[in-house]
Amino acid sequence: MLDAIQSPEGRISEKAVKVWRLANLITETIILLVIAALLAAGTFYDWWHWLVVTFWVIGGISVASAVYSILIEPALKQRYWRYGADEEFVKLRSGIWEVSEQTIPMTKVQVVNLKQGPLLRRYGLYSLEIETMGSSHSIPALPEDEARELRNRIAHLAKIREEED
Amino acid sequence: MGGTETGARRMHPAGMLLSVLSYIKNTFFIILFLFVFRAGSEAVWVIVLKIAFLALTAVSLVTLVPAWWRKTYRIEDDSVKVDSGIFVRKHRSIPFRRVQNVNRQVPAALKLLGLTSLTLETGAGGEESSIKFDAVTKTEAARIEAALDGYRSRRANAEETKPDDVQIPANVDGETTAFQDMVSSIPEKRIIHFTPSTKDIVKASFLSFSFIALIPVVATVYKNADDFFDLDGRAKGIFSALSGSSLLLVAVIAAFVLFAMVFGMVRTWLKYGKYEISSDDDRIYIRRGVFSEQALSVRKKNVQAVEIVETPLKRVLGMAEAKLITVGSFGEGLEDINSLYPYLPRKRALEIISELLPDIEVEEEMDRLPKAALAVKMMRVPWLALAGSIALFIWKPEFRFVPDWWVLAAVLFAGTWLLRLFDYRNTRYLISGPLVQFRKGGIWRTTFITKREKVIEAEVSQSRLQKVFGVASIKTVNRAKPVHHQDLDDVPAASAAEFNRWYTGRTPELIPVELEG
Repeated sequence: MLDAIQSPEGRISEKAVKVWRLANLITETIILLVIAALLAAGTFYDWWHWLVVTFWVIGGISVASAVYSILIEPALKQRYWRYGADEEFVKLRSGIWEVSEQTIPMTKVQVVNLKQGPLLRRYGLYSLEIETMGSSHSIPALPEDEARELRNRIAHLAKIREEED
Repeated sequence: MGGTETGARRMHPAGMLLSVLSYIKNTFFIILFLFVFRAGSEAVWVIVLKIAFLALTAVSLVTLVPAWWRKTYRIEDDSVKVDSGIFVRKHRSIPFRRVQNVNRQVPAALKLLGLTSLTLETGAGGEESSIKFDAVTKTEAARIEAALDGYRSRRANAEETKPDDVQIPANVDGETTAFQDMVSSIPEKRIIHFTPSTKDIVKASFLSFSFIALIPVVATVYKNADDFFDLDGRAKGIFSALSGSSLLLVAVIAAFVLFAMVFGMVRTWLKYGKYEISSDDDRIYIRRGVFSEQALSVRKKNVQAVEIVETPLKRVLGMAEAKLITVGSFGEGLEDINSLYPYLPRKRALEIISELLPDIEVEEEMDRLPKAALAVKMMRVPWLALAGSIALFIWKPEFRFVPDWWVLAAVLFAGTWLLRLFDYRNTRYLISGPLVQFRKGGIWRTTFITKREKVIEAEVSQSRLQKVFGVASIKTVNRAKPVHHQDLDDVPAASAAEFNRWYTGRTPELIPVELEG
């Protein structure tokens, strides 16, 4: 069905895969370290048996999720992301297991922001955030030129509408 | 109150009285704690708290008059300007075009003085979203509303007349002399759509179970009275007398039930006694309350969506509650003012909607979900039932009359799947013309209707499982506070694509100019 809807063309930077790998590596490492510390403390200080078992279970799940989120997820996420902005709508399409396509009218866009954290900076990327009256959306990891161009285009289109109002 | 017609004005001084009352109300428990329960306490922290509280009270009281004096407002052609602050001055300007709806809340104290409070709600978020006139005379409130109306009708006339706006008298062009006419002319144009009859009130008092509210009241009174009289002792005597005579027992129970019913009716009457839904060409008015009065006036154009809620009990009785989804948020005690009388026969509720909002039509004939949707619903992992079963397995409750854990777990799973079946059977949707209509919920049923131009975002999504069965989910986002998300799962893929076309098919020419920012 989503095939029946014309998909937007824009793709996010391939460097995003590296950024996400790195970001997930950092968070997963922290999580696993915390669980390891809890396990060590639990075994050493003889905490309740069920608590230690729970830690093992959570640890096991975390290892699996770390493998997924570092090795598999970033590449797939990048491959499926699409965005587009025409005169009337901003369209965002993303998702690995569940594809979702959002349609935001230009008339409702209120704020467009460029953001760059340390990881994105390393790769010269920006994330573009679009705020409407109801919610905020972001297009992660765009190359600088593309991000600026898109930001200006959306701001321009959204502003024109407001003046017409 | 000082100031000329065009100049700055102040709130009515009685607003200060109201501030004092609400201060006492808000700090009631602190006062009770510090000066009644701990009245004789010598503890340092109690004394410190007492001094702090008294100091705070003194400051609040002393600043009351200058704060009132320094707060002024000006009604201009297209905006309200409010200046406030004793030392740090704050200047606010709210353009009329951003005003979404107008609320009035008249607590009994204000009503006795013939005053009212008036709130202009804008769509903005946060603290700055509304302007509240804490206490103004009724004529002043009418003047403010008339200025707002005058602005709107001028604006409507300026940009090509719509048939709706033609009937607005031309003499409201901001002329102050016309305000009085305007005020008196409103009731003539207004159509009253609903006022509850005595029968409706009685029904409402039963359906809202307001008689149950008697129990905590009685318990509180009993507990407090027990401190002064030995009620417990007497009660024992009364109980032994009662158990001796079954006739007396029946009589007492009957008296209690009767009393509870009267209590419930009075409570319901206080809230809905003077209830009225009315409308004119431009706006919808809802007012209610016998002693303390609450009113909402919302422009028809600013109604974002309509929701019809049917609780299980209401469904059995063929009743429904219709709600208007609007942008402004409602303050304390006003939360449910957007409801069009909660205890109406379903048919009547639908009629009122179409009377109030001619361009919204509730269609009873809707599309059902395909069979594939049922398969998808049944195949979704029942996380809640799984987690519940695991918890039961670990806990293994052993009480008398409680079956084994696996029986309970089976009931959990059966219940989950049964609810999904109900959900499948009851879900309906319709995309027709400018309207989209969703009905959800197996037991607790809600129907949601909105217009394309009011949807600020749309989303279509499809999981892998849904893809296998050729279904998808759709979602609309509407302005409200908080933002209203409405989703519908497992519609046929073709309908989801149609929904997307329905939404993106709009072009700027189709979007009516909305009076909002």
